[in-house]
Amino acid sequence: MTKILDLQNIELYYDHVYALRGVSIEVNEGETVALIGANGAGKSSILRAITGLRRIKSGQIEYKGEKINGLPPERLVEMGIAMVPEGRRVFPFMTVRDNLMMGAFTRHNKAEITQTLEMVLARFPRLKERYHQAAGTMSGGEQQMMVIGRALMAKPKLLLLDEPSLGVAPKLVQDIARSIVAINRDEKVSVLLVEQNSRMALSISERAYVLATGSVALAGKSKEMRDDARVQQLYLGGEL
Amino acid sequence: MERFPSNPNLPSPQRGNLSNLSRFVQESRPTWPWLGTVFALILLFFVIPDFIASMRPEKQGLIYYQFTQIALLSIAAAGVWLTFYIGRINIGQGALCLVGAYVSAIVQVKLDVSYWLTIPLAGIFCVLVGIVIGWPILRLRGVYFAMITLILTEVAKLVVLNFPIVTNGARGITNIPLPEAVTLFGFTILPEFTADNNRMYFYFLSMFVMVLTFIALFRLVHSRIGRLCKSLQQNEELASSLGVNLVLLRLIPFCISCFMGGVAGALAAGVQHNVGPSIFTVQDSVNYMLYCFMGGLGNLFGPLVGTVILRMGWNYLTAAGDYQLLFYAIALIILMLIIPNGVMSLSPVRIYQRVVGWLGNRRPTLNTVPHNRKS
Amino acid sequence: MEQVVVNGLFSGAQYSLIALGLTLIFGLMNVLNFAHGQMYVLGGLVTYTIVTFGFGFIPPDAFTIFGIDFIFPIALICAGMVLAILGALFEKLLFRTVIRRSKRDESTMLLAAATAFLLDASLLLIFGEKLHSVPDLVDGIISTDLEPVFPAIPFSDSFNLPYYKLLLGVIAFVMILLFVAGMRFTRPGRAMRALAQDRMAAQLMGVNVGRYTMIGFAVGAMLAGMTGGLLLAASGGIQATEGGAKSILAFEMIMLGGAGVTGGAIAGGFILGMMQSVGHSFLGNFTDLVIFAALVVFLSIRPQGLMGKPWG
Ligand SMILES: Nc1ncnc2c1ncn2[C@@H]1O[C@H](COP(=O)(O)OP(=O)(O)OP(=O)(O)O)[C@@H](O)[C@H]1O
Ligand SMILES: [Mg+2]
Repeated sequence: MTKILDLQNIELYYDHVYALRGVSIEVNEGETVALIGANGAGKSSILRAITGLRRIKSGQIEYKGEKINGLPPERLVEMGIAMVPEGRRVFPFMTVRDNLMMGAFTRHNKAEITQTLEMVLARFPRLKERYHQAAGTMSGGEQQMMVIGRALMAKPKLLLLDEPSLGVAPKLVQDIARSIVAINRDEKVSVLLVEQNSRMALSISERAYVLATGSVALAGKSKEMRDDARVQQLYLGGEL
Repeated sequence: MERFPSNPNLPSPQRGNLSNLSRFVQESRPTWPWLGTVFALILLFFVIPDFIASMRPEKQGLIYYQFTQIALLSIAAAGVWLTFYIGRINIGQGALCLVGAYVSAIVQVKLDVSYWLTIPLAGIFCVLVGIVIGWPILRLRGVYFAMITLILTEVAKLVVLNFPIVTNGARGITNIPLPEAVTLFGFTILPEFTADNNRMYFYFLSMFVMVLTFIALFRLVHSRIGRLCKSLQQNEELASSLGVNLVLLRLIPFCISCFMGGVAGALAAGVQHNVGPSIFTVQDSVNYMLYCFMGGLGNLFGPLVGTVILRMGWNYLTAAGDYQLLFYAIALIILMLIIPNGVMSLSPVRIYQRVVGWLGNRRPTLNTVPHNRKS
Repeated sequence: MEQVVVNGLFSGAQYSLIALGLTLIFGLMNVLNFAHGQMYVLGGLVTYTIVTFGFGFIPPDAFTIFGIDFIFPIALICAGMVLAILGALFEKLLFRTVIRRSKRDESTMLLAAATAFLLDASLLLIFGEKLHSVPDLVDGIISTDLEPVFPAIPFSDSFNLPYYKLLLGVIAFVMILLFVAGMRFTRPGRAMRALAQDRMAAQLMGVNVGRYTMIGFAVGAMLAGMTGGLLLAASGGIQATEGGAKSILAFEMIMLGGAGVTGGAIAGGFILGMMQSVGHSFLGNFTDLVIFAALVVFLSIRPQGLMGKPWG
């Protein structure tokens, strides 16, 4: 198995306070990896570091064996890294269609873009119904589907998802979980999934990392982690 | 349960601002630097006049006048700073100054009232204006408030020009008498201002009012209202959820700010013996804001420091003649690039850190500009 | 009455162009461009200079081809380019640095005010206080005596529209349409709209924030400058000192329509143009006061303007 993403010992600071300290994480080609941890543990910070939204202080980020830290976000999108940011950042005054087309901003081949668009609409039929609605007026769940679809429009090789289940009804969480599995399987996209809903995250991922105060506290197979007493106590609300 | 209980061993996230807010409200008691005040008083009322007295007599009047101007402007700027304290950028203080100046002039000339009375009168009239205008526009935030207040200055000028029966229109009111002496039980409390001494007396008067202004500002900021205002600056929704009467809480500081503007205007009317529609312009309004920003919004004395630096700079640039505004603008831009957070944001510790930062490893830099965050 | 409406539409179109530039810059960078009126004046005066003096060794009448004088459109385009370059430089050298380094968004306001002072001072030094004007573009006038539609209202019986005004009005309308179409259908346009709506999300879509912010600032300045050129030809002339007043007018428009929204700027521009036109025939000098009072009342009911973002 080849690594598609490899973080080595990264450190990230906000002003003078560290958010990440010596984090090493890897994602293999075709794999779904979950990243769980309490609020403020630094999960989103890891994604920001990968996409270049925040510069890391030290460490190395490799994508397909190539060093990518220091590259601006737009370069990384072109290279095939797409991110669904925390809290559904739709373009509220654009229609669903325009939002989706923004996802393909770095691509130029019209025919291929149309193809991807059809794939996305097939995967999320709700978006087709709302095709010409302003994105800001859609429900939270619909917006969440749309931002995932929008990220897919870039035809990424690596998809970073930040809390796709946030504020979404349990029924829809299942739908979203299924879509993630399907995307991973059908589109051959590797997924790094950040979740508060650890149960869901662990059930659809192969491996998982548990993050605590800016460093990796635990790493392993998701299945084993679900049975792990410590994880159960801390993140699955299990009583012991 | 969708959310999972957080681990008590991990540091708690800083999500809820409630703890921050209550921390602000119960912030430590003010430690009033008495020593500083006494020092300032000695400086303003003895050292500077003494220094000026040592100059050539024909120059003294001008120097007194320039210091008086600084005092006036800093009073008005203090008002702007106070509006910033409730999270509003006020670029309309020039309007209030204009109103204050006209009230003082009109009441003196048309109703023959003593100058001394017109100073508080101008302030009170401006408070009324503040209530009428502030009540609707204080709901606006951010740039909206800034824009509407900026327009206000232009509107005040239009009012003056369009009601010539009261204001004399574009010609202005030019025959404002010098303040007369005030005696009580045979004692002269306030001396008569004459053509010879009025520059000096106005200096003392304005400095006195300026000191009062900043003492009042200090008291206000450290009062309950002040702390509530500070919390307002941080988070409006939250403050309103605490059951604070927001409308009133914003209106009070705004009206105080208007009062300061009015008083500054009335003083200016006295100092200059005449008023016209362009004694306070949009440029003045913008300048007050610049003084506050340059001094630093985080500090009570920011407006004072900013006024002193920028106004003195402006006065020195008089030597540049026609190029005065050009050089002033260039200087402002350069200052802005070097100290974007104001003079009072500079601290020896931070400058040290900066230097170390330059020499050694670079701090991680911000790659995104996070100002579009919807929070 | 027809006259009033046509006047209103005419100034509305010009105002909309000014407001569009201001709102674009605001939407993209959260910068309130105090210098917008000054940029407008600069554009007008650049146009004036070229129309009057040509380009140094090339005299202005060298551009007459087949009896049609092309100097004005050329001057207008040059003014647009000069302003675009100036805007790009301002953004890249000044605003970007201050936004990155300052702790508050509002600091950019200070910088914008300083640039306004800078332009004001330079313009006054170069051009002085006198009124600069150019000859009418084309001769002729549409003039009719119409049947009064509302007999009770005066002013409704005659109607004059000089051809040059008609021409300038059409140019303004075409520019508005081009701008709107550009924002909708071109790549930079889409990038800028995305940036204005959610900066971080746009960045994650692969939008180069630095580049498009600069383009946006340049386009905003360009619009201001070209409108300056248009109004120079349409009105009696332009003065180096009128920048501040024009900025204030532009602020009124975008507050009315809602800051940061294209449609709001257009609506605000037309409404203000119409209100001024109507007001000047009924209220005379009090027009601006009444407009301000109306604006305050309107904003106290609807703080975000007609179409603004509620969180603006
Ligand atoms: N822009 C910022 N400025 C300063 N500190 C920040 C900033 N963003 C995040 N932090 C801090 O960095 C730490 C990690 O934040 P991060 O957003 O990565 O947490 P998270 O694991 O995603 O939490 P959550 O589950 O709540 O989203 C937190 O303590 C947070 O307060
Ligand atoms: Mg997060």
